[in-house]
Amino acid sequence: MARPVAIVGTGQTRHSKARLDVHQGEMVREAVDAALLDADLSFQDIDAIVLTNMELFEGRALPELWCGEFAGGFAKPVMKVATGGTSGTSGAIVGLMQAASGLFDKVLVVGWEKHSEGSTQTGMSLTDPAWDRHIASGAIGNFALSISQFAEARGITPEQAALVAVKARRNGALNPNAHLGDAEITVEKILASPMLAEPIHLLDMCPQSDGAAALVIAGGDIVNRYKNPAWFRASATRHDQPYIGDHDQRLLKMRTLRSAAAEVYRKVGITDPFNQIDVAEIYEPVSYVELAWYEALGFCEEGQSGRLIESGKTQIGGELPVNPSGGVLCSNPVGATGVIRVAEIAKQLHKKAGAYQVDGAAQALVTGYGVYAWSDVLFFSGDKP
Amino acid sequence: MSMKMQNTDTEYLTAEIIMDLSWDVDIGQTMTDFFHRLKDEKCLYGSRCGSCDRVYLPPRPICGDCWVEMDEFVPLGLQGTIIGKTICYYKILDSLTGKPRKTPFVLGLIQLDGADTTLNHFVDVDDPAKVAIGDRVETIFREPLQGNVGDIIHFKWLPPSEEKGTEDVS
Ligand SMILES: [Zn+2]
Repeated sequence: MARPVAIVGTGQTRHSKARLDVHQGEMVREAVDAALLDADLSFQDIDAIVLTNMELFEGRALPELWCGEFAGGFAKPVMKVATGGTSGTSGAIVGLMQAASGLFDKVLVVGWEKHSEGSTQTGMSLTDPAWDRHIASGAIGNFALSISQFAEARGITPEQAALVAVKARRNGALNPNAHLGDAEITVEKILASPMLAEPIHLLDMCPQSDGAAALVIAGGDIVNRYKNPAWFRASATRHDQPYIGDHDQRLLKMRTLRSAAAEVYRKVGITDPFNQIDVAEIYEPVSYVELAWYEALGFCEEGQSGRLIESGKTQIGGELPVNPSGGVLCSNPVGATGVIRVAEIAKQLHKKAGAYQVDGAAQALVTGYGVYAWSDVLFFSGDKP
Repeated sequence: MSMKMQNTDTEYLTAEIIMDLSWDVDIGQTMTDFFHRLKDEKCLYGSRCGSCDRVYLPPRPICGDCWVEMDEFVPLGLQGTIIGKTICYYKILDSLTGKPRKTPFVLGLIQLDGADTTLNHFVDVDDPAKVAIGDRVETIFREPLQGNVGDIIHFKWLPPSEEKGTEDVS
């Protein structure tokens, strides 16, 4: 890496089902203002801006045109990054690289989505009309098919998956920005919620949210100004083939996440992920996939992910808290979701995570998951590289 | 006058977007050939990579894993194996009729004989509870064939005993 860079400020909206009181730009502005306030900077201090948004969901073209100025983009280099669910982590990587290159000292990354607007029909044009669109069953059916395979091969029970959702919603109750949260949730309540596509219950799924999140990235002397910068250590991105059916064992193999994690672990010297990582924010749109990601990230041996969630070791207070913020299962404004993962890890390293602060968090992992099986992995630490 | 909204319990206004658009996209050489063959021969073809031997459905000109051109079409079997399955209870629009599909319906991740990739599609079965991973299915085509993806209506679930019978014959 060219030079050390760190995240020095974060800001988020309160994520929710529908923000009828603001348009997309006003929502962006809320997150940007919060991030600048957190970093004690003004918009004049920002050298470049990266926007991340999946405009197809709202059915509106060129959001950088009419949301850019709400991020303070006038007369500055502004670019948009859109890679499906990984948009936010990809945008963060781009911003980190821009700062690490020395091209810019202070880069603002802001992601957002307003799922309450738009129509699923516009999202349908994401798929190939010649082959995929007629058989596209939406994210839930596709996940259910891969999950049936994973659950059978690994012996994962609905109760074990429900424990992931219980952990997420209890953590979400501690996070003032989370869309969902329920301190009283139980496995029984998850399993009693309506069945969407076996074995996925309604409460096993992430919500669709309105929300925005922003990061302030800094490189050079300015970072010395901050008490607990979240230093960027490494990242890796892996894309994969275009059709949902190209992965005959998607969750079992998850080759993009395994490969990206291996590269990042090698770069930062992680040989025992479960014991060396202090906190992780991973992209889990469905309860079951968090268990698949445990395996792919090397948090446990193959077939042991159900035991790991049962052990409580991934709860706050456990040996490796996973998604102390409540994760994607609590908030999912897609273009912002990856930015939120990074922001939540930065908050942990800034020691500003409040009720869900992980004590002694110093080595921290972020993942993003997008489209059919794309993966981003980022690593941050409290120590300057 | 201040621009700050004074009345915070106001009814926020919306602007309507109406989109009723349709257009055609070019599907390219490989898929054009694939659909002509489907219509003429009632057969699905995959493309085989000469480097890794992987057979792709749908076929495509380049193997993404090896980054080499594929120039061999291979006919796939009309039967396949269910390698993932789910019973869906949520409403979706049927792309053939435009009407909501009756729930519950069964989706399968289906690996056709001879293909390394899979496709997710509807499984036709009288009792959804019968379907298990490893079961066999048969492709049911629209008659007459039109030469597009809608020609595959669904996959008929084959009871395990019946499948054994066909194996004996072959
Ligand atoms: Zn190949």
